[in-house]
Amino acid sequence: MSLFRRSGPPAGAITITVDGRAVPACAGDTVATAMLAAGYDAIGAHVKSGRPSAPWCLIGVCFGCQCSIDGAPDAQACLVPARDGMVVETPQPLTDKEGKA
Amino acid sequence: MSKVIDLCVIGAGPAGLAAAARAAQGGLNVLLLDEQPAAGGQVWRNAGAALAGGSMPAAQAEKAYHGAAAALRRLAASGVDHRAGATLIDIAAPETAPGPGPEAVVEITWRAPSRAEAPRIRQTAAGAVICATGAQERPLIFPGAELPGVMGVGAIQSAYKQSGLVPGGEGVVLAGHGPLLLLTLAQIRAAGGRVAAVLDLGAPGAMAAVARTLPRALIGDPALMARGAGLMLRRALSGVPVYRRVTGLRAHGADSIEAVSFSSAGRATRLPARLLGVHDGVIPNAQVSRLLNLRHVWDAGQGAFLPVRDTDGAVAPGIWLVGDGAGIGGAEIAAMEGEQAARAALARAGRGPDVQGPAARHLTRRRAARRLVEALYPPVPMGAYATDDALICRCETVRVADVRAVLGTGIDGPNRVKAMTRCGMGPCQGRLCANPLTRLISAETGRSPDAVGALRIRPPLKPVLLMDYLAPETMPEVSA
Repeated sequence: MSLFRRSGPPAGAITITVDGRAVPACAGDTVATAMLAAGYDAIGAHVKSGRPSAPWCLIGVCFGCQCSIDGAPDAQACLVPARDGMVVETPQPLTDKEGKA
Repeated sequence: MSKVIDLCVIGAGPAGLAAAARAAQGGLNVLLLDEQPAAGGQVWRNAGAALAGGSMPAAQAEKAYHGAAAALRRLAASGVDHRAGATLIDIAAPETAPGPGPEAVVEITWRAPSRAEAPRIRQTAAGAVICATGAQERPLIFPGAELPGVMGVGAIQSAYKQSGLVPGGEGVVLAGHGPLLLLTLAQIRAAGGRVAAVLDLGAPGAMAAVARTLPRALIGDPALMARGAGLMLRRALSGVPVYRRVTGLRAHGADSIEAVSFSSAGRATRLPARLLGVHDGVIPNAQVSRLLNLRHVWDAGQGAFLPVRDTDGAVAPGIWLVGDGAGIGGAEIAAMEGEQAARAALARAGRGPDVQGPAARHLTRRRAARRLVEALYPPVPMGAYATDDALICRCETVRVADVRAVLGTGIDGPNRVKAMTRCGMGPCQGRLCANPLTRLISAETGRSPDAVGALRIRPPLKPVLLMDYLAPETMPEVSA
């Protein structure tokens, strides 16, 4: 179950793609709020620790929501307005030669 | 580089909006750069769309965006060139700009929002710059704080304003203290959400400071005082259990938070939790004032370093710092400071007499009200919850123990701790750890925050790709 629910009037429905999966969103969302509303508690994995990473501030400060958006690998999801058809890829942990995070 | 615009304003919250509109009305040609998707800053996040009937119920929007509609109308009518989604990368310090007089040019490097606008990195030469970069929440350092589901109450506010999101279901716990926590509690409940418990992390017993600041606060800003008292009353009437004298705060969970444990008045307690909103007040976003290498002085009331400014907010020839980014005062003080700096910028450009606006008297009164807020909600002492295993730097996964170990070798400055531990070297560039690191070192070594100092901040202010400097014709094919 999602951490959040929408309380406002229904806004225009759009769809973004997160790691290949279609995710419903609303016009006016940022990529980060769209993912929170769709039940993503975490936005990929922390590249160093390999632990799930999540937004802490939602104002562009903490980089907990950093991911790749439409090919820009360094986007902050909380600063990018969600648009229909947007392609999001969440970060995966850096691994060494043995495949360990 | 020759001047291309009269004034660049950085940040489109209450301070930046007031500054930009006033300067443009006075005849300056103004570029307003803002990182957020729409004007309004954090307090008026998404105000334009929300007031037009999106994201949240109309009655809620009217309450949440007091003052925003007028500020946005004024911006629209002003002729200001507002760029949303633009990221500040660098400001050339005034001493490197040619000449100290009114002809001096400040060089601003910024990143356009879209890769379609290559090269995304732009340089703008401005006759003057007003920086209004706003506040951020002070991170609360405790074990488990990095788990998904733990976020600042400011983030909960942000999700509400942006998309009308309200915490849903069971296991919503708020921990901390301050007006924003009370407001968030009231908003969640007004929207039909449930809060299982509030952990009051405030230190009791600052009554002398409260009594000293209360009279002037009541005179200075009675409306704010009434709003604050209303929020306290609503918490009292809400029936939400409040735990006080909290020690040993810890978030537990595997891939996200599942429970929060603590002791309250000596009794060990464990509550199931799916969302833990934490709050220990707000602090200036210090990246710009640190980038400019300004002198800062520790403000014990705000628990933060503040840049030293002139009365109109000037910090160097042609550069002003205004609003919460220069010292926490809230939206109304920020807007007044923005107006004042714009008047000074107009005078400097020869577009008007250098007079202090009617704002000066109101500013003094409103700031008196702020002193009461500081007396009521002093920052949570650094040692209260910062156990050895708590993370102080999320980006580089540096624990409090790592910093303590380095301090044990006799190293005692934040920049040397940074070199030894990588604390502050990750993508957020110290935004989350700089304030806690100064306070941790101060607490551990017994030296004052002024003696300890802070992390140095260098450009670029946000991580940038080399690709962003390239024009389309030189852009290589890149696979993501």
